[in-house]
Amino acid sequence: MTTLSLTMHAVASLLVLAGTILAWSPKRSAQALGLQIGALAALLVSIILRWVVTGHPPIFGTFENTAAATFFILVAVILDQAGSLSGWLPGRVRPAMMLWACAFLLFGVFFEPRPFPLTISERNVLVDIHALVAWISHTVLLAVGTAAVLRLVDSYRSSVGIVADQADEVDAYHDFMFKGAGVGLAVFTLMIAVGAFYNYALFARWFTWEIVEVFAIAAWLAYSSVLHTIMFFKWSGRRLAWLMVASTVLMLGTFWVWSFYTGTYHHFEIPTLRAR
Amino acid sequence: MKFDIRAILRSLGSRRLATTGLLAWLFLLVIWVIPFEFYGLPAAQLRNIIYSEPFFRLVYALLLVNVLACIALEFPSIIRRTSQMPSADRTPNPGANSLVIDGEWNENRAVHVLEAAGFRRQVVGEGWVWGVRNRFSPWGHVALHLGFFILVAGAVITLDPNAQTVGKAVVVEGETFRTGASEVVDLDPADATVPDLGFTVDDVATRFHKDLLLFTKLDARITDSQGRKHLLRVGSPWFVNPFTTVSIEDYGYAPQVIVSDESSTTAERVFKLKAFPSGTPDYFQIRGLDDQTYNVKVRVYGDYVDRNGQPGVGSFNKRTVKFLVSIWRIRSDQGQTPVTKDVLVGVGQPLEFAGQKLVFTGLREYGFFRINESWSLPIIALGVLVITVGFCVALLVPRQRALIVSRDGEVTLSVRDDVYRQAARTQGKLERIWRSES
Repeated sequence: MTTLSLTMHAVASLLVLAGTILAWSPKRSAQALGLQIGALAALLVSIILRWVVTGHPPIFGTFENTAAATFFILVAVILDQAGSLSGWLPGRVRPAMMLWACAFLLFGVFFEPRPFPLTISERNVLVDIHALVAWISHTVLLAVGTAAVLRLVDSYRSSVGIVADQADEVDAYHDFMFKGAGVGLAVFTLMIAVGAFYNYALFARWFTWEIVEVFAIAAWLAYSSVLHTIMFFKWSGRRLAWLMVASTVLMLGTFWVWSFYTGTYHHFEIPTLRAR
Repeated sequence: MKFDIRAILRSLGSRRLATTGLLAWLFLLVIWVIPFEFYGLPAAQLRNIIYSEPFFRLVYALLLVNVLACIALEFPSIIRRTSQMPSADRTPNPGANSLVIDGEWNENRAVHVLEAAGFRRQVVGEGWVWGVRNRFSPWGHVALHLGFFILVAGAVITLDPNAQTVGKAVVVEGETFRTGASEVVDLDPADATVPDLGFTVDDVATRFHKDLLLFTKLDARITDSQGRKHLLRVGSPWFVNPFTTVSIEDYGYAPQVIVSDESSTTAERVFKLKAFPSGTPDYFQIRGLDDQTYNVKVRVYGDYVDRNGQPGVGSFNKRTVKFLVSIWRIRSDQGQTPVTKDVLVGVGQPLEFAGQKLVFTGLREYGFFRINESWSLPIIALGVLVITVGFCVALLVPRQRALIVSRDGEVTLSVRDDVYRQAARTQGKLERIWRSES
């Protein structure tokens, strides 16, 4: 079953790659959507098979977490085209998010793919809730950061005369950055709250200030500042976009620093000690 | 010198100061704490930087004063705004983003349109209708910021070492823990009073994955002093009351031992050993029936397998239990004389030494229980609740005021709201309702 799961993971990766290439062409949007749905289905099968083997959702280690991140990106992208949130991603954010999906799947390849059960401190419904809201906020804030980058790219291109400044698209990016940051921050706050409560249940301490938690608070402060600057100081344009990009870097640090820095509870140790 | 209190409050409660404080805290974390995290500074030192360094404390004080000043400034105007209504004698100003809508002016139609969109609290004037919805929403902003203040208060409490008591109790299956009668180790602070509670450990259950040292289960079933049963898991403590929790952290082996000879048998004793993982040596002392004191050195094999003549384990689970035992007699000069050396026995199997028999009648397990009492728990829970309610009220249901007015033969619709750029959507909705009512 593990082999089948990994095979489906590989199939999903290929479909994501193909879907990403087609997503940049407006004329191929229907085919791109088909590939994205196929990729989501293949990834879902892979996750379910792995879940049966391990007994837990995909939260152990970088390989599983890249699959989870990609899953949520695909859901967001598909909903943008054919679901209840249709049109929520402005401009070229959708195809850019597919690039992220490719990047995460590629990143995951460099980590241990073997399935492992969770240890006792990870087997709790609070951990599942923490992970679920984490991925929702990750997806929303990633989309917001992507919009900021695209805003900067468009600004550069119009400043050097490659394209004309499109006010409607600029407005759409701005609106999306504001609303996305608000929703993303709310869910991100919920993630921190659930994590802090579980930390207290585990260690009788609300915050241990280990690196993931420091990044989380830093990201939280950054997004709070973003909202304040938009709401009260009417920040917009490149200045806002740069602040959003910096916030996104901190957000990515929160979610992925534990992949290579092991001095954190969020790093899932692969158990090696065997009975002798 | 005159002090303009309001001007001072406006400066202290300004959004500019709030944003500056947030960015300052962010800056300190990024340039100071994160590099030290990567450097590997111990957790206690990192916490010391974040809680006690003057720059950090200055930022915390700044934000705290800012939040309090903001609440003091906003609170009266929020109360006023909640009940603020235009006078029926004067036409309200539509504002810059008003929309001209098709159709003749009709007061009843305007009233129905606003009602249909939820603007039920209305003022009707000559040629205009004004409505408001979610008028209590601004209170959500106050609650949101007040909640942060409560949260910080709860967090500050944890900085006082006397506001939280943590102690550990090692309790074997079948044993009863009672405050004052049972030992508590690692008490922090050392002179703290352990909360008054009692419980009996009915069972400690563990499971490991295959042959790996990977805990997949660590449960403790306990009965409290009122006879109620509780299941403790790692991360799922027993909430004795809003301030006190008991949780299981770790476990170990506790062999049951009797010593007998031809005429008598000692009472069964249980020894809590640091003998896990399997094969880890530990010892306990017994008083033999010959009145001599013996050190019994033991390695416990929970899932014994013979590995080419050497004792080993197939897993870390408890299946086939065996003990590798050496017994040493303690002399009057405190030296030790070996009596038996490395004898492998199972449960119930006697080990003969010095004319007596040592029998391991069983292997129980004990739990490491953490007893934690903190004033912060209910306060932080309250802070989280207030923030959540405040956020939902302020941002999900923002206060909006709508005006439909007839002016110069045209009907104009305008919406104002408290949340940036939400007015346009409501304006569109009102226009659609207006058209559908034609």
